[in-house]
Amino acid sequence: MMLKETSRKNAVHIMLVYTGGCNGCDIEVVNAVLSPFYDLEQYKVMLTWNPREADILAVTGPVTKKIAPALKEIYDAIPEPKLVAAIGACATVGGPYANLGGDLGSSDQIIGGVEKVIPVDAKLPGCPPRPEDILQVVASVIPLLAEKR
Amino acid sequence: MADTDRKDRAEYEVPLGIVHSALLEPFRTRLFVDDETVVDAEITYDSAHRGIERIMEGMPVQKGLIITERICGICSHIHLWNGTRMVEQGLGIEVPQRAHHIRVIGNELERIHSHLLFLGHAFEILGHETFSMRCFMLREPVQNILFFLSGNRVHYTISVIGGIRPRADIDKEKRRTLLGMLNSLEEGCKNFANRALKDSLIVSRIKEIGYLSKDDAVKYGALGPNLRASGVCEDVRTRVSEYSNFDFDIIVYDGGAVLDRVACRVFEVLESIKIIRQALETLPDEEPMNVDFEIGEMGFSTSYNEAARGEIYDSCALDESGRIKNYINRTPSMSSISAMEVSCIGDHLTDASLIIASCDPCLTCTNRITVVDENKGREYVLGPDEIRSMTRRRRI
Amino acid sequence: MNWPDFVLATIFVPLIAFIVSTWVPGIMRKIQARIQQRIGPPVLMPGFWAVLKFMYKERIKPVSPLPRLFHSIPLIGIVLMFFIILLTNPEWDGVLGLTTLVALAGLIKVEETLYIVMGNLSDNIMSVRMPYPDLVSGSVMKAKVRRNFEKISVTRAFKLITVGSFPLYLGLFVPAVVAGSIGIMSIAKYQGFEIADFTLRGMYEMNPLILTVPGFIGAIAYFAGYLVILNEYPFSIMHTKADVIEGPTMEYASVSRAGYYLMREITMFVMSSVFVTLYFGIPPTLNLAMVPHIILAMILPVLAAIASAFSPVLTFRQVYPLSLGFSALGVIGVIVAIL
Repeated sequence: MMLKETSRKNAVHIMLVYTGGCNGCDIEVVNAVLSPFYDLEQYKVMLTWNPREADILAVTGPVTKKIAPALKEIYDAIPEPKLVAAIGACATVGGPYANLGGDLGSSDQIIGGVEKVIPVDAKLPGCPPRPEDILQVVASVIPLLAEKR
Repeated sequence: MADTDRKDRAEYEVPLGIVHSALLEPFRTRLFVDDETVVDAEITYDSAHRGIERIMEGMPVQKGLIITERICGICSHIHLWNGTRMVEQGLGIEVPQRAHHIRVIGNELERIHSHLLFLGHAFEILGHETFSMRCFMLREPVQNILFFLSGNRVHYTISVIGGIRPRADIDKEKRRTLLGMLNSLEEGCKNFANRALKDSLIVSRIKEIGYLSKDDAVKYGALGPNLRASGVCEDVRTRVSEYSNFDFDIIVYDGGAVLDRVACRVFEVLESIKIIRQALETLPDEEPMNVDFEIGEMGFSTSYNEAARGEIYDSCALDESGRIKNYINRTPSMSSISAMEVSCIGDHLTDASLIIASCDPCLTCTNRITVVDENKGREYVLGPDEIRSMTRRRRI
Repeated sequence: MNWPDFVLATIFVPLIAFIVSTWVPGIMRKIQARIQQRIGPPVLMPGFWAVLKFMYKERIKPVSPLPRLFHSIPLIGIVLMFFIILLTNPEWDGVLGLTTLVALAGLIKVEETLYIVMGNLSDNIMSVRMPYPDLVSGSVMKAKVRRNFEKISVTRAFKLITVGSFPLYLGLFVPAVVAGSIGIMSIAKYQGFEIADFTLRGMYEMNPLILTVPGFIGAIAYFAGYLVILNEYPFSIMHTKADVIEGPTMEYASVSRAGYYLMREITMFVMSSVFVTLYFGIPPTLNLAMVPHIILAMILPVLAAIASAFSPVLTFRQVYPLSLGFSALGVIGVIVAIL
């Protein structure tokens, strides 16, 4: 139905979960959403902190073992249709904590990328990705949201 | 009832976090509340523990130091600078004066953007969206300057052992542009400071809350602007040789309330602009990189420096092939946490997150002191006393 | 009573209020965004498209002891607001003797208490239920209960009901004192409103209450109360992001969240519409008077948007004195009106 798709394209709520990275991506995302310089709201995307209201879950940072249950619960609380965007190198693959390592190998404090905990629809590498790229990835997943059931 | 009379009983407990709108980073704040007044607070901050010091074990030092930058996305330059500084001191590597200047510029730019981020965040928690937006709008040019200087907005990798990365060098063209950018930044910051610190609604909201007395600030190991806002004149920059050429004031406030912490940071931004201008004007004309060194065995070397949030300390040794042994990095937020807990006692519940934020928590660097006691088979996080014993003895 | 007009008004006045109110949050958001030097969302987005979007989301069972009651609260709020706007309609004048300020005040009070029911019936993942092993680390302090954000908001809602919204009620009754009647239509007629021969030119000859001294003072008190009842900044302590994130409404998802959005925006419009009826003397009717009514009803939301863009959220330390101050202002208004 047209109305359904139009409404989904015209009002999107994004929620940010920050799973223990270095703050870099987190600040870039909040910056992109908040600051008047990039202003995500003009693209009809609002920031929310309530999973019941959210459509897109933006995750930054490698998922540490302590945060994984909370992330999963928050993901479950979002009603369908929902999308997950993994933003930054750590969220996509685990970043330096997963695939670099000296004598002792990779870090055993993290689970790895976000997709090891919850299904991911969009990945954006970069350390950290630029705000322009974040805007682009959010804008490009909105049509996916409209296509869902 | 008998047990309600006890002093260590609160009416109810409010857990904030680990995902929360005001305290963005993953840490849990437990607030013990009696009728909306906080009687005690506990911050649990081990959830972002990623084991950086452990990954660096056995890495070649050049590669390992780049990882230190990933400790924090706000104060990334100072970690790398302090790491390289430590290795350079340990191995006796000569660093050109020009590189020192550019490193100082990087650090001060980082301080500006960190403080502006703090202000934006604090105003957002205050519920004042407009001023928060204005702070973020002010911060964006700083990010652009850093991007222009080094090619990345967050992890700029300015220092490498022996000097600076060639991309981050400042030629004449760059210098002129930077000075122009600084002028407009300074004007914006001054206007904002005038506007924000004279708004009666905001001042009525942030004065006289979150009081941290001078004694408490020292006792609980607050560092950086939090310590200076409580009336202690202490800045590691006065003891760092790279800063000896520059003339700057240390901003000290006596109040110890949220207002003082905000004001302290606002005026530190202006001081930082002053330092950058001096550094740019006296930039020596020489090669910014000394490649004439060999990395070999190094005993334990330490380095102290002033990050945006206070004193930072790095220490490690190198083995004969230049690999890192026992890297230790102690960051200011770790030390300030007990101060945050103490300062929100006695205030309204809604103020608590503001007070914690006014101490500028950046806990990504902090989540590293879970101690695993193999003999007893348990994990625990160091308490304030142990942290205090780890901090350097300080003269007041 | 004119039966066809009565039925038409009963159907179309709430409908018009409903349609107009979908624009209100967007206009407020746009004004705030422009103050913040950014472009901001399209005007229809927060009020209309967001509601439609939530309608099309998956219906999930809320974590609540009484899910059905929990879901029906927004509906109750909407119906209440429809009643309020109908009570200010001239066609309803005299129906069951309800069209007085007392009935209005009662209904607004019920609307306020809905938040208490809402908060007590909800338990969102973002507060106590968030899985995190922090009890094991053991603090010195012990508390009897872990209270979630909704329950804290309930306490705050209660405090706001008792103290915060007092200026609103004083603002409601200043016109009654001036006009010497608690009947809503008598107040409108006192200001020169005649339903039969309302013309735009005739508006110039009316004596709106807001242009008198007691009316102006009362209007200020009403505005403060309006901010409180909407939980708009600076009185948004119940909804503040600083600790309780969204307060009692956190658990609303999909259709019921759409209902909550509608309830909020209709409250915004209706409370403003009541203001126009009382202080400008132009009630919502199905004739030409509806046009100036709707235009004037945008004044309060616009003022609220500007006020909230320039103020931080206040804690009770500031809310009590402020609210008492505005109440005092309202009392002064009443005294001036009596004199």
